[in-house]
Amino acid sequence: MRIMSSGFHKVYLILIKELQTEYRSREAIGSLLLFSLTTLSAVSMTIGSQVLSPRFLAVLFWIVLFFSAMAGLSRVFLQEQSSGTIYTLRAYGGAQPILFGKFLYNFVLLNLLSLFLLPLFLAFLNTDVYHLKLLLLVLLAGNTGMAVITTLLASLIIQAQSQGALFTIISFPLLLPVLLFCIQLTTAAFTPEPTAAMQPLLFLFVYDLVMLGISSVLFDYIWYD
Amino acid sequence: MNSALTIFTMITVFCVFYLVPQAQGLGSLVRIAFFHIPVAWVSVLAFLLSAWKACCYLRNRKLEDDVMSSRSAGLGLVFCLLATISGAVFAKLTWGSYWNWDPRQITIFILLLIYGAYFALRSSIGEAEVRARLAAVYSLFSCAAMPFLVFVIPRYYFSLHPEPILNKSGSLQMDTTMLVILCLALIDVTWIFFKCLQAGKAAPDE
Repeated sequence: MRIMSSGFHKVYLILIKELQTEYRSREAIGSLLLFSLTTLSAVSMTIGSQVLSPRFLAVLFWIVLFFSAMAGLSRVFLQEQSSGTIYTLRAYGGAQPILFGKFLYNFVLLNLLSLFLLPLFLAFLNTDVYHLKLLLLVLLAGNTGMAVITTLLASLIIQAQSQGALFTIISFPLLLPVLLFCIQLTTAAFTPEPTAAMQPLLFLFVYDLVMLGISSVLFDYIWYD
Repeated sequence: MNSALTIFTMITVFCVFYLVPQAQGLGSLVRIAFFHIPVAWVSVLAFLLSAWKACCYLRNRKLEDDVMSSRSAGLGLVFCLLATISGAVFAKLTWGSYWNWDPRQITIFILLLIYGAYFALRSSIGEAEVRARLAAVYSLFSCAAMPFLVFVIPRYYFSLHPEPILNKSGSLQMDTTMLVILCLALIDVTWIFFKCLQAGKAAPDE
């Protein structure tokens, strides 16, 4: 492996390493997909064949996605801690490539989860999508925001006790703006009327960018103590 | 200093109860606002001060900055609760329900959650330096989300909450007596906040 390499190459190496580790155990993706399937089937079974309003559907969709994400995404740093590899990573990797590599990995996981969940959701709950492009954009923006925030916060909790519960508690307030905007935009995508939802979408992207910038600044303080 | 603060507080309370005129449509209920607005202002001030002290800690690594940051957050939590409760009572008396997820209520609820999460994070880390560092990071991270909560979310939901004192056109829609007394109340509550903060500094409880 080349020791001297550019920042982008390092990010790429971290991402590849994460994906290979994941491919070996398939632990994170398995728990994500099964968790989402469990919640979705619980919701769908109890609702039965009732027709729900677009707003209700959007709320259900994002709640399933949010709690599935909470179940799987904290592992990104915890697994390094439990397998004892975090010290090696600390010795070889700079803070920024690790943050962005792990962020990309979480982002990939979330997108896989969405691709798995969305068709099932549409089929199970008998939902019509009127604005598919908008829906995909919203998923992209929402997943970016969730991946950014959970990556930084996952690195915060590795030195804490009761990590699983704490992760959900500290993530929720910061993810709430993402969730509220995503629900609003998804409602628009599920309704037949044409929408002009550019402004909330813009705010969502701006929020993602601000969070990405501030994580990049703050991660140095977490990684080098 | 303590006696000065006591006298000042008594004067303010007297003014609020005896000098504030009855407001149009609200009657005596307007007096709640003289508690609610200063308390809400202080809870935001405490949040910003906590973030500022967190920033100082990350730069200088002095544990007293962390103590101030957590003291400030603790007081902020108390003031935030008071603002929430007084706001909910006002909402019940004027609009008929304690809680209806008004944008302002969403914002203050998220602020409460952030404070709660901050203390949950602190209490689950044993080592003082690690706790200080990670709590500071969380404090700054949530501070970056604050502008969105305060300015962006309220735009997208219908609100019953009155316009902030300085509304968009920059004009003041308040009686002069009320305005003067509101300023008194603001100064008083901010003073109380800093007094509590200093008291904590003299005898750090961590």
